[in-house]
Amino acid sequence: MSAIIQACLGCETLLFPARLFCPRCGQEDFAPFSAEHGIVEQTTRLAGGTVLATLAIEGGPRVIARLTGGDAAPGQRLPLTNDPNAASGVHAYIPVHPNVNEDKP
Amino acid sequence: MTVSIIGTGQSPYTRHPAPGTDTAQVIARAVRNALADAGLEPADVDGFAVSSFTLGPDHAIDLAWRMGLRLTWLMQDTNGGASAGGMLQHAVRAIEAGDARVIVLAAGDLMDAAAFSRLVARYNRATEDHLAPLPMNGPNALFAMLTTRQMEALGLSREDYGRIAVTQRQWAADNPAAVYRKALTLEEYLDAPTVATPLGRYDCVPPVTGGDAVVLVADRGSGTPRARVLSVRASYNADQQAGDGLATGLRGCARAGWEDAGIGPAEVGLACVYDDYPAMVVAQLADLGVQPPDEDPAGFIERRIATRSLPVNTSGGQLSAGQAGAAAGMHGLVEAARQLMGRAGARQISARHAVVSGYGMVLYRYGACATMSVLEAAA
Ligand SMILES: [Zn+2]
Repeated sequence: MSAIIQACLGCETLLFPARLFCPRCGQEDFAPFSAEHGIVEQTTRLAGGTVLATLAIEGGPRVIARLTGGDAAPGQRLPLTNDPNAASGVHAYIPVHPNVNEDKP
Repeated sequence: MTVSIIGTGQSPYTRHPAPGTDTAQVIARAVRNALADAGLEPADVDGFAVSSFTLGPDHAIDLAWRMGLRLTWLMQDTNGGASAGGMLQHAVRAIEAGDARVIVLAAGDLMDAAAFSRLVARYNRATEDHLAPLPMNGPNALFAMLTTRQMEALGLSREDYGRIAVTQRQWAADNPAAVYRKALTLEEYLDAPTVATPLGRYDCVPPVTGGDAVVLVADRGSGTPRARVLSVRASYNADQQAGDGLATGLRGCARAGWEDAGIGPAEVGLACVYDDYPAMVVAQLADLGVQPPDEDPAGFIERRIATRSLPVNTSGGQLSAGQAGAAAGMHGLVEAARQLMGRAGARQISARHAVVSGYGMVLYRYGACATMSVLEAAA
């Protein structure tokens, strides 16, 4: 289980959402990168019961996700997924286009 | 050369626009009222700028045509809550450069439930691809998590944010143009239905239909009540969305903004800061230096904001007056100019200097645009 983010081929900076130029080194060559886990930083429970979270990907960006399969507390390490119907257990679901690199020729 | 605001106008804010209301009419009403306030006619205008989320398929030139304006300077700004400062920055330079002599800045939106849903679902590509499908309908959840971060960083409680909302409602009681004017108690604030923890109903702005406009001219000298523009600064994408959102772009431009103005943050008698959420009032007052860096934020709210010894968002702000789409960015500029021109009615304060900030355009996790301007009363 993992979620696709973007890695700069020039300096290895991990990015999400996808950029056109790398904000660190200015290059424009990227590859998809599978991020497997994120650390929950904050959560918020919406009026309808949905729980959204901010997670920090190790060595990478912070992402916004919906928790599926249960609740989680700040500090907890969760598997990331691009599948809203992930298998059992608590996951952090990150919606994404099938190809985060689609601007690349 | 100094550039001054000599007129302000609004199109009445309403939660429930009459059937058939359209964005262009709403903006035109604000323009008409601002020109009347300045004692000018449409034929006097040679510069026009507009910001709106719902003007399409029309653009600035279509509006200019439909209002009969013949222009030598025209612009359209897309930066929502920061658009007023952006337009003001360009307009001041345009007048100084001689590109135009009388510029109207306007913003407005038809923001009923359907328009709001369309706007937040396709706000930008990142939202469309990565937030709306979560599902997330609008920025409340993002600012809920930002508020949690700020509570932890600054030791603030729900009560502290409540004091900001309650005080702005006190100001709104004396603003006939605010959509919510009935007194709000701290208990009502705390007991309100939850929107997204820790935010309740009164932490979130009510979307309204409405418009705002100001008229700018080169300073005419004495005889005309006016709000002189002492400085305008802007910051876009200061941190690449890689931070915690607790600092706005104002933190990087405040020093230059005060230097240009020739005064310091302690000298302002009015702060109109972009209040999409109480946490952003806290963040912007700190970034501008209006909240002294050595002062405890909770104490500052209690001693200065809640007592109204420092007037903040005297119109009631967006939290009480309403958020009229892109006009939300113009709201504080109109209020500050009205106060400095002595045209604020029952809520009139005596202030010589005001600071106005804009904030907006959530790219993914928080707003990426910020503007500040310092104004001075003259007559
Ligand atoms: Zn790079």
